[in-house]
Amino acid sequence: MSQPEQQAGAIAAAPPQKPFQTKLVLLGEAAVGKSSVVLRFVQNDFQENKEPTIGAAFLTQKCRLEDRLIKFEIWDTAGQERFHSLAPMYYRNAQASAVIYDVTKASSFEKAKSWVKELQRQANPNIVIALVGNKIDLLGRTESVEESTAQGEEDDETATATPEAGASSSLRAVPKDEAEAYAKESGLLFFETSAKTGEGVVEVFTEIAKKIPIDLHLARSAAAATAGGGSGAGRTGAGAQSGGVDLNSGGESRGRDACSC
Amino acid sequence: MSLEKTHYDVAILSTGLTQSILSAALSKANLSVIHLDNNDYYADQWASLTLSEIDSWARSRYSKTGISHLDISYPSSSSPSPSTPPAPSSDIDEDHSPSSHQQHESPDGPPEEALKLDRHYALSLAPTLLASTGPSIDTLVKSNVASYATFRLLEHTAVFTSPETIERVPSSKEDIFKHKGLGLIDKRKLMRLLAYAASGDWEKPENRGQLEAIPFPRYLSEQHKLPPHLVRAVAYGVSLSSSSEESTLTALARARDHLRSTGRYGNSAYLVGQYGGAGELAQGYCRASAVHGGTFILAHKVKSLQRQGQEEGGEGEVAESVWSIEVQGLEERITANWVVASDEMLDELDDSPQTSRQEPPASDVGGIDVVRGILVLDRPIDFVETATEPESSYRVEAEDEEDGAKAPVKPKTPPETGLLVFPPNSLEEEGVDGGGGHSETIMALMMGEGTFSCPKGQYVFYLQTQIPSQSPRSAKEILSGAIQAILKLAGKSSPADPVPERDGEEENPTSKEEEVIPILQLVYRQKIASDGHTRKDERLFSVPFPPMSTSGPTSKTTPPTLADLPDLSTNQAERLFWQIVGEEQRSISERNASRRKKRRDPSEFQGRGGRGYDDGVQSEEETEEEEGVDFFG
Ligand SMILES: Nc1nc2c(ncn2[C@@H]2O[C@H](COP(=O)(O)OP(=O)(O)O)[C@@H](O)[C@H]2O)c(=O)[nH]1
Ligand SMILES: [Mg+2]
Repeated sequence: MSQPEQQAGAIAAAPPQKPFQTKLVLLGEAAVGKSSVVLRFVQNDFQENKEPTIGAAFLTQKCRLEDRLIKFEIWDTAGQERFHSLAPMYYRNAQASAVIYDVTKASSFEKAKSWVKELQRQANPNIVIALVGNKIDLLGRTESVEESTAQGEEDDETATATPEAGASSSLRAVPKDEAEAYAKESGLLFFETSAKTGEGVVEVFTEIAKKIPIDLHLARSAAAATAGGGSGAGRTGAGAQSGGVDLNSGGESRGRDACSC
Repeated sequence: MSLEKTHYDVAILSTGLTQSILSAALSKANLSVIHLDNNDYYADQWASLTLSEIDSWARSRYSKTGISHLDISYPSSSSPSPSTPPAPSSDIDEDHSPSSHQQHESPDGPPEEALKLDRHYALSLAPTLLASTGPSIDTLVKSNVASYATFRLLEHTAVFTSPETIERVPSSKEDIFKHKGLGLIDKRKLMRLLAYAASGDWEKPENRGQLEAIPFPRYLSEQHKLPPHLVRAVAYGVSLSSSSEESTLTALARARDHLRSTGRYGNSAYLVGQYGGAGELAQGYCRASAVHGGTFILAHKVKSLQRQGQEEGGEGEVAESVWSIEVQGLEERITANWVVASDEMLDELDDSPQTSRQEPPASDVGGIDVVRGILVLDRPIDFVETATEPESSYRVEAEDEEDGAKAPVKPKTPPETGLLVFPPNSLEEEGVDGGGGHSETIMALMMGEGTFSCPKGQYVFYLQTQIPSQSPRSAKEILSGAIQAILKLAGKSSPADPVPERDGEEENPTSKEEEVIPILQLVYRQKIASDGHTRKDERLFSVPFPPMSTSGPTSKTTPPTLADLPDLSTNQAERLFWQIVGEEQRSISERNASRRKKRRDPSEFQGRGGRGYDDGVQSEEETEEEEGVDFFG
């Protein structure tokens, strides 16, 4: 089992350090598996045919990277992507994003591209974006093809046009090389995953973690702290930041829900 | 697009703050909620908008009911030379014919340079101060929304005195104690007054009647013998009285709340929400609602709302009728047992004769308009440097450091937040074009870059006061005195001059004044809605904006101040919550709360020492919580 925490290795003697907290937002069309991917990453679990109930503002998961401890604060859309209703607050101060599509559904890839544009418009300019094609476990199962999808048909052209796809992948609607090329030209990380089997999921988060310019963010928030002001880009996720007041510190304590660490 | 399901317990129309709090509370209590808004942004009348959004908001408001005398301009980009005063533009009246609207819709939009930073603006349609204690803060914490909205302390409060001076308001006992500009006798009087306000003795029945009858400023000077500048500081800087007639009882209650709040998060009674405040909180509550299963549809016009009989309900059940809602772009109609809507969204429905607005009776609060102004400037009012005596603790420190020599002073931190209060009639002499005076308090809240309200180096000023609806004065006239005063005060703290001279009394303010021209100036009057058309029998509530206090004869005629809004909205949401889930649930919740309290502090109830969860004395029945829903349990 590849729990991110256990990739620690080398520096066991290092003093316990304060993790670098980073906000990651999930984006993508409804039903591509956003919630399932986080559930796999955070709880190593999968629920078939069912929207996983998150019931929390965000989930957290720590990730050790060489000498650094990164704590992801993962924001799920909570269904607000469905009717044009994600709030600006959602994108605010996100340092990373996973834009997910379903490899068996071409329209979800088009939608992913528009989410990438939206991020470029709304989010922090240094944001690290990963493009993730999910549900690759479906690709190997030729026998269940016929009945399970209608949209497979309209995408037959693209599917068969993929050379490496072969006969076993007739469900694939988004060719890997096409998505990869798009990711490359747009400066995005690229992965294919299955929340169901767990394939590729941890890598998404560890590769994002590696790419986040931690030093830059730390320097920014330090500068902002001394200036008493703060620049939007320099702040880490929610909670206390320079000049800000943490409402939870001034009175009765409360538990942050769904903190898995 | 289609929905997963079409029937909901509650349909909420408009994502205003009250509706959003309610939405989160209902979803959390496991009711199914569908939440709709015509706009493509959150928070409706409470929204935080970018510059281009507020520009189109203002342009669309020319035709809306409730808003009048709206005037928007971008003086810094439209005036040919910086020495020319902003070109006068006449105001727009809601009664004007469409043709006269046309001429005001000048092609001048926001300036190019400002539009490049459009997304750095979060300009609030409902600027608020958040008291550090009270229902609003408690609900933010309980609902967990506090963990994804961000706040700053209100750094400065000052009271304006004509001409062009501001006096900083000591906001805590510590402030008063350290205050270099206050004589010992004045300090004692102030301390005594604050101790009295904190004691709550004034709430006793034998005192109430008398205190209700006497206006607060008179009470302060007659009973407490406070000198005029301290009357101003206490009445308008601490109690935030909106008029000189406010009753002592009401004002003391606010002074007490102020004292309770001060110190919880720092040396101020108030917080300001970042990114525009209320609009951000509404987004946070909507997210909380979505996380608990609420469905959100923005940018879809709600077209009609009708009663519809329902077929099901066998086995002797009375066939219940439900609300049926038609939404543009959705194939199916949505049905809901309850509807909670903003006045405005009900007014904009294509049909629904059953929700036609009743004219408020003449004696009603319909008689008051809120007057609002938004200014964006390229510099702040420097509350520390510009302030005169009394208040000097900061200044004295600075002088000590400087040690007489003109040593390079380390760049000071620019102020980020401040509240400047113009007491009633304090602007009489300012009289600019037709008199800038105003007989009620005008509040001006300043928010800088650090509140994420505007780009670096800019400052937003929110002005607010009120006027009887029948008054013909335009918003611009009412606010012009305060706006001129703000521009002059800001002119004294040019950011181009980072080391302001401090020559004590010799200081000649006019010598380094610079003319400040606003980047944006928006003013309007907003009619206070009557209590609307609450029809509990038919399970339809409309939510008036702004929310009004339900108790107290004085509050009925006074619109809420900046500092009252969040609590009033929270209370409004809680009242609606209990009406929907049932008043009996509220009783259960209250019984459970007192059980929890007993368990936490058994000694308090049984006169015993020690702490423990259960000392065996209480019976099961007393301690076991009843099953029930809670307003953010
Ligand atoms: N076969 C397969 N099904 C998946 C995978 N990820 C998600 N699903 C299913 O797809 C549906 C939608 O997933 P969900 O996580 O709710 O998508 P979201 O709307 O993007 O959050 C659910 O029925 C999941 O069980 C995957 O990797 N493989
Ligand atoms: Mg989901």
